[in-house]
Order: sequence, then structure tokens, then C-alpha cells
Amino acid sequence: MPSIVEVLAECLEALREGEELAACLEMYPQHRAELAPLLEIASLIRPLPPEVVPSPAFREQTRERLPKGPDDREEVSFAPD
Amino acid sequence: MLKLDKPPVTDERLLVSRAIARDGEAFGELYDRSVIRVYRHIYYLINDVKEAEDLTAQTFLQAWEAIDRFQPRGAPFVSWLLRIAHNLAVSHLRSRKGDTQLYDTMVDEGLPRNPEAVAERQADEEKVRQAVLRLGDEQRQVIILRFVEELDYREVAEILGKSVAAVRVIQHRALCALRKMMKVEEVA
Repeated sequence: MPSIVEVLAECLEALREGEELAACLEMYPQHRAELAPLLEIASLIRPLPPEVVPSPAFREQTRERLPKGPDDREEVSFAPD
Repeated sequence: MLKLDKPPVTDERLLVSRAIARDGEAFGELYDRSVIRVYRHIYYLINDVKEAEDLTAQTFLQAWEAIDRFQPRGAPFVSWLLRIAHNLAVSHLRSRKGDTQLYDTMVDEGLPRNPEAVAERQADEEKVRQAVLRLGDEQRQVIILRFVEELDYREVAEILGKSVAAVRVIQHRALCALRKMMKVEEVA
């Protein structure tokens, strides 16, 4: 019998691919009591949209301000503008 | 005459070794490779563009300052960066007067249309986000990489320098821990 760790991992993958929660739980009735609340918690963790990325201007500006070598250790400041 | 340019350095371990030796160019390459992941990690915790940018920049500054303490044989470099990022984000949140910033910018089209149900779900999502903040480093990183970044097990294992089996075990423990925290909150 697969462990709860394996069953949980498989169900989470199945849900990501569009499987219904009820179908996942039906596949593993012996784990249902433990599995259901864990899947519910997982469903409440919202993915970040892919467009959430640092702006090119920020990335470039920060790259420019990175220390260039040993002498830069104490001199760089990232205080907000 | 033969031109002897330095070959492009792609191996992360070599880049880290050079950065530890205070090579700014190598550190810049590490920055390029990890800035998006660090930013998104912080953004998930903070939910504010300007603050996430500032904390991302601070993460790299702290990493540079502390890089001689990085253990190349331990967790991968990005995992170390995410730990710094998390500590900065948590300190920042503590300094905020009441962290009530909800994820109102991320309304999902798939959510139920009933306004009460939407509000209830958003409140639950916020509670889980707060609980994620309280997880230990390893569990929090697995949860964010798996569910916020939607990476598969192999990708998470690679980033964290662990086996797929270990990632699955950590995922299970993390979700159990979140469930426990949510139950405590319900009772309180």
C-alpha cells in the first residue's frame, strides 16, 4: 500500500492536471480522512501569476549598484529613492 | 595571434567560489540567475512591489556581505538567498504596523461569484499565507516553490539540492504543519 506521502504527492499532481478532488479521494479511501484536509490546505495556497517579476529597470539599476569587488563591501547602499 | 578570452563560466559552484573570493562579476552572474526567484519569493510574503524591490536589493547586499559564511557543500546558493530574503521580509513585516495587506490584486477568475464566498476564501488564503510565514526554512521553501511557483518535484529537488522523495516528505510535513496552525487559529 502506498504511503500517505506518496498518495498526497500523486493527488496534488492529479489536481494540478485538472482532476476533481472527489475523484482523488475515491482512489484512496483508506487515506481519505488524512488526505482531504491536506488537499484543502494546499488549495488555499494561491500561485503567483507569472507576470509578477521585477521590472527590467529595477533589475538593471540593482545590477549596476551591486558591489564590484572587495573594496565595495561597505560603500553600497540600497536605500529606497 | 590567438585570443585567449576567459571561457564563459556556467557552473554555479565555480561562480560561488569566485564570489566568495570577492569577484563582483561572478556575483553579478549569480544575481542574474536568481533575482526573479528571490523577488517573487519576497513578493509573495510582502505583497507590495516597491517593498519587494527594496528587500530584493537588500537580500543581494546582505548576501555579498555574508558570502564568506556560505557553505558551498551545504544547500544550493539560491536556497541560501531565499533564507536571507525570508528573514528580511519577516523583519519588515514586523516593522509594519499591522500586516493587513490582503491579496486583493490577485482575484482569481475561477473563484465563486458570491461576494461572501469570495471574501471567505480570500480570508482563508490570507490565513494560510500567514501560516506559511511561520514554517521553518525547508518546509516554507518547498511550499512556496511547489504551490506559489508551481514547480514540479524534480525542479524543487534541484533548487534545494534534495531528492524528489525528500521533497515529497517535506511537502507532507509542511502541509500537516499548516493544517495544525489553521486548526489552532480556528479554536482561538
